[in-house]
Amino acid sequence: MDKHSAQTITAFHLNGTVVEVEPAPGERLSHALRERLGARDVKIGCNAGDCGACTVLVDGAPVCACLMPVQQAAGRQVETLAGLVRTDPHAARLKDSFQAHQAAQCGICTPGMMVSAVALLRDTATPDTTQVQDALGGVLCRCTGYRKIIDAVVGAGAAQPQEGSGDVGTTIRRLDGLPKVTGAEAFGDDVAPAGALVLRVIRAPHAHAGFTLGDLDAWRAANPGIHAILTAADVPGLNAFGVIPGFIDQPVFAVDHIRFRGEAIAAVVGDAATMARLDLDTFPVTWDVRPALMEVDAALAADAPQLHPGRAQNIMCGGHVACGDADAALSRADVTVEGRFTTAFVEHAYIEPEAGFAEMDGNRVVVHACTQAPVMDQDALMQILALPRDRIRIVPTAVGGGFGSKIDVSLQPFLALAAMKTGRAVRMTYERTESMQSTTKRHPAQITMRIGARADGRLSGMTFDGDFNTGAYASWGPTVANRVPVHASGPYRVSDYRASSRAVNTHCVPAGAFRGFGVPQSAIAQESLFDELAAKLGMDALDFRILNALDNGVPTVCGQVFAQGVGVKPCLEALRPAWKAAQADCAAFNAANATMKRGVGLAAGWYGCGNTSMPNPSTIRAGLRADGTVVLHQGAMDIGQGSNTVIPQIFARAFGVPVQQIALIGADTDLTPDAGKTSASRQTFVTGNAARLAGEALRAAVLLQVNASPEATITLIPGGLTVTDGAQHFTLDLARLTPNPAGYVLEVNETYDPPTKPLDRNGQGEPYAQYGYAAHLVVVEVDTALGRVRPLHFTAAHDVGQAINPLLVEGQVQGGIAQGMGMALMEEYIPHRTENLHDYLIPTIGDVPPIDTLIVEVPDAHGPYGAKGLGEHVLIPTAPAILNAIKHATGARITQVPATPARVRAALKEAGHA
Amino acid sequence: MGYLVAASLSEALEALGKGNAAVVAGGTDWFPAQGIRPLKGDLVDITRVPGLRGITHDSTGWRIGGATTWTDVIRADLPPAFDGLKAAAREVGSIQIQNAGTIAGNLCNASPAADGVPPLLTLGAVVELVSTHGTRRMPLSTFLKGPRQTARMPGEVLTALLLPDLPASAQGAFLKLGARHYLVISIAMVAALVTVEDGRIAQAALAVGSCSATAQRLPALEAELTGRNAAEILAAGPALITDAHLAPLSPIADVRGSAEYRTEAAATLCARALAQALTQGKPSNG
Repeated sequence: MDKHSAQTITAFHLNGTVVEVEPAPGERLSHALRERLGARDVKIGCNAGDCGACTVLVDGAPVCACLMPVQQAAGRQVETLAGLVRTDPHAARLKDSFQAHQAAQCGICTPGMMVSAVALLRDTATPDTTQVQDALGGVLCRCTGYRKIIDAVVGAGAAQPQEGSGDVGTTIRRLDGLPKVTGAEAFGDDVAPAGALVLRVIRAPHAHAGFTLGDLDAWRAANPGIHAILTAADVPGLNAFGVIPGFIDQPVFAVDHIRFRGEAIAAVVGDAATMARLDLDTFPVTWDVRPALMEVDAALAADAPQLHPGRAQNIMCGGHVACGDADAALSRADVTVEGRFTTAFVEHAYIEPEAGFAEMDGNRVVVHACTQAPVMDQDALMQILALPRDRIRIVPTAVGGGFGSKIDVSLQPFLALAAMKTGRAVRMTYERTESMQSTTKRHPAQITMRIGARADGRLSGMTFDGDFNTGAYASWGPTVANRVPVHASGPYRVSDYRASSRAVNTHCVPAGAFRGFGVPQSAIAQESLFDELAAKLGMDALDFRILNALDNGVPTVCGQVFAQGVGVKPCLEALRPAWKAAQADCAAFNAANATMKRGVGLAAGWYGCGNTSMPNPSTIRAGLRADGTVVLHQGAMDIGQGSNTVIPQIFARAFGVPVQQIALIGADTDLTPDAGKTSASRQTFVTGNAARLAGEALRAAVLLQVNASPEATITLIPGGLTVTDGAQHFTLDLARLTPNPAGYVLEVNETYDPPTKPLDRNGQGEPYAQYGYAAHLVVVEVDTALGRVRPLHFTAAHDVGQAINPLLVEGQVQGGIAQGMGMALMEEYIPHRTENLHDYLIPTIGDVPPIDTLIVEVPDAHGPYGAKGLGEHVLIPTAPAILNAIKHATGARITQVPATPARVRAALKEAGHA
Repeated sequence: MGYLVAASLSEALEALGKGNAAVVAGGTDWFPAQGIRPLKGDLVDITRVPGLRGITHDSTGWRIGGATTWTDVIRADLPPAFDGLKAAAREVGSIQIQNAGTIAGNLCNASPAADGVPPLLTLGAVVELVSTHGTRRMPLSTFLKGPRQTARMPGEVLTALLLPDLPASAQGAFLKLGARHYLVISIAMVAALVTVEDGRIAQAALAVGSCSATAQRLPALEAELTGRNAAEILAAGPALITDAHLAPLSPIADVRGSAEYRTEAAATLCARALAQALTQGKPSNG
């Protein structure tokens, strides 16, 4: 082409400054902005226009920068979040409003949201909810449930709500919130040094195959610029990873045989330009495709080939809880119901794909990547790299959503191996399809459940059998298998109970941890059948639940008796006004409408906080510097849920100063002790307790210096601190204390591990020190002709013991409901078919209706200031509440999720709808 | 390999005539299809070709330039016959996609679920294809050959859509069914265009998308509607639509829905879109 040489330079205005780049043909504007111009506030979530994270304004119009050739920007004005917040008055107001409403959780979608909102506000100064939804409909968020974002945009022009003091129980803005709304937050793909090598993984295109590598040396020679090719032969330690001892079964690189589509067989490392030109389809490998077992039934068949030795019938493990005599109780029950329920693989769909880089620091390998569990990453790398702990440092970046999948390692082993092999900094970001193919999912479940009740409404017997498709490798499958039987009763008194689960290996992507660890699936079965049972008994569904709800002093199905803190009844009672009102509203609507039908449904849930009958300690370190600065080393990963705010609030209460005065050091295995994984709804509870203990210990140490009483007041002043004890006033002379090597004149390290007891062979014991409780109510509208279901309103009651920061509680609830809605209505990961964010659908800003959050506070004796965990509870009741509402609206009982329009329509026809 | 920002149509056509070059305009389909694979061949960017973007009207009817974006369509001052096309434009992906994606790109990409196709079929759109060999025109229904297949020859650019003038009372409507709001590929969609004169349907056109390899008009239904009393049709509702009317459809089963469901949904949407058009664009839930 003659003319292209004259046009290789593209000049445009970036945030008001003229910039020039020399893009490659076909280069995306997003790439040029991030990699050539340093505009890393432009986030990339999918490279396909499906998520909108990369939204920028071009001549004022929002576009996906990932879909625009750089050359189209020539001569035009390109604006990104970082520039807008500096100069645009709308962006400045949004910056404030997004923080005040906590509209940014993890923050990865925030640039796309705010940039889109700026375009709206320039046109429409005071938009309404619908206008905001239309304007922001192209940006996906997986954390917030969108309602706080709507509030923040609608309210951008108004005075922002007042903050609380920061004490426990008060709402303050996120302490780490500012960078999320300025574009400064550094996620996994934002931190690699210039010139870092780029790594890409060669993955299996088949579900089950043998393979032979070809002539790698020749291929490398034909592609100059490749620095290394890594295969199983390059793993110095154990070529396997996993999260549970005894189940470390997934190869870093498969040796000669792959068990799922997306499994890694090799990695290629080269300079960025080489890697951009490299066609990975030419990688020399020969596949021997074999029949694949994609479903549990096929894997369980007697003649099915075995995925792993020692797992007969491909049953990896199981779980079992039994008390009383379930069969006898069912046989004497006055009414019984039975059902079979099916759920799908669910993708976490965080908007930030896995990303990071690794480099050598002397003889240490340092990995900077998004993660939910830095010390577990370190554990895994110790085995894989055959290095001691002190030679591996994990420096987590900001995490653009996790929801369970980023507990497992993903690219960390590849990056670490590559850094060690090349001696260079090596970076990688998963493509969206790669992320979806290769990282863990929620387990699909097949559940059969039978529940009985006496004529007076009391439960009489419950049996549960659940098979969970755990995919090709273990990941957190054993945890799901263990948790489900413990929770499948729901938060009810069930004296006669038997629940068994099996985790079954198939040639699917590994299923692992996803918000709720199998409990959302079991709740669908149990809560759906509760409505059927109440109907058979002629009882009100809410009354039926309250009658059978757990209470203080009533044993769980594990035989655990809580003397205090059981908050399910208050949650259910809190729904009563909405329940009565919604029933009347639905009846009135249905009397006037033939095709559209409304219904109200409810469901409850519970979730044990922390590991099941296993130690899971958290340690918090804090210190006082000679200049009077109090420093909190906070290693609990904040993946958007808010631990960077909650943990300091707890610590500040315990120490006795305002939280704003605490200096924070974030997670880094060199600087922060192990606060465990961000998982199992444990951070507020477990790390919160460690923070409370650390605050109390540091307070005691300070007071001891002046022999003050425990009631004394500590006040931080510039250069030191004072203690006021009644009429006495001390100024602590910190200079006379000797700082330790870390620079602290006083330092504390405190650990908390929740008290649990092991489960016996019938699952009897004390699996958790505390549970959190929840009950949801939803009104849906069903288009009976099309089967389309639209939730219109949620009311969500959550017993959190003590809300540390009530607005963070609302954020968790709304975000969890959005995920529960997705699971109920649209989300279904099918290997090979829904490996992107346009075939795999998550709710958009147009789907999530208003949500009323009712915070219930039944304090827990073990929780810090009474607090209970929350993260996972929030989506457990959502899906069954929706299914119950569909039943109420139409008479049709949906037993398979997602309840897509086609499935709902089929069920409606079966239920007799025209 | 290179990237040409064509300054004129002739320059674009000359470059495309040389072989291994592809047209890029809004990029909203091109980039997702390309993924991260390295580019092979050249790209010809036609977004700066004068005259390719915009909607004009003259004595022969309407002309929509190929590089006209969906946002351009939404913002254009067009008669009610175009209400279906405008509604479809608002359903294309998201505002980000509507700001970049072009009407010609939507047609050349030839997805069975292309939002623009059903309303354009009801409007009787003709595509204009230009190459160094000359200009040819053909009905949109002829242009679309199948999933990802069109009559466009290598070296041709879809420069415009030509639409005949319609009576001032012609009213368009469009309904899209997906599993969520925004950013959704349709399970089924229907465009309707009706002209009512003295209470009777003088002319009717219906087209269904996502229910066959390419979106289809429903001639039997259109014939049956013509001459009928509009109020009667409204009263009849979904019962009006028979299997015979839907005979041109051949839906597949995929992750979005079964074939049986699609057929049924198409019938429901036909009745609703028709009702919406008959009631001057007001939404109906039938």
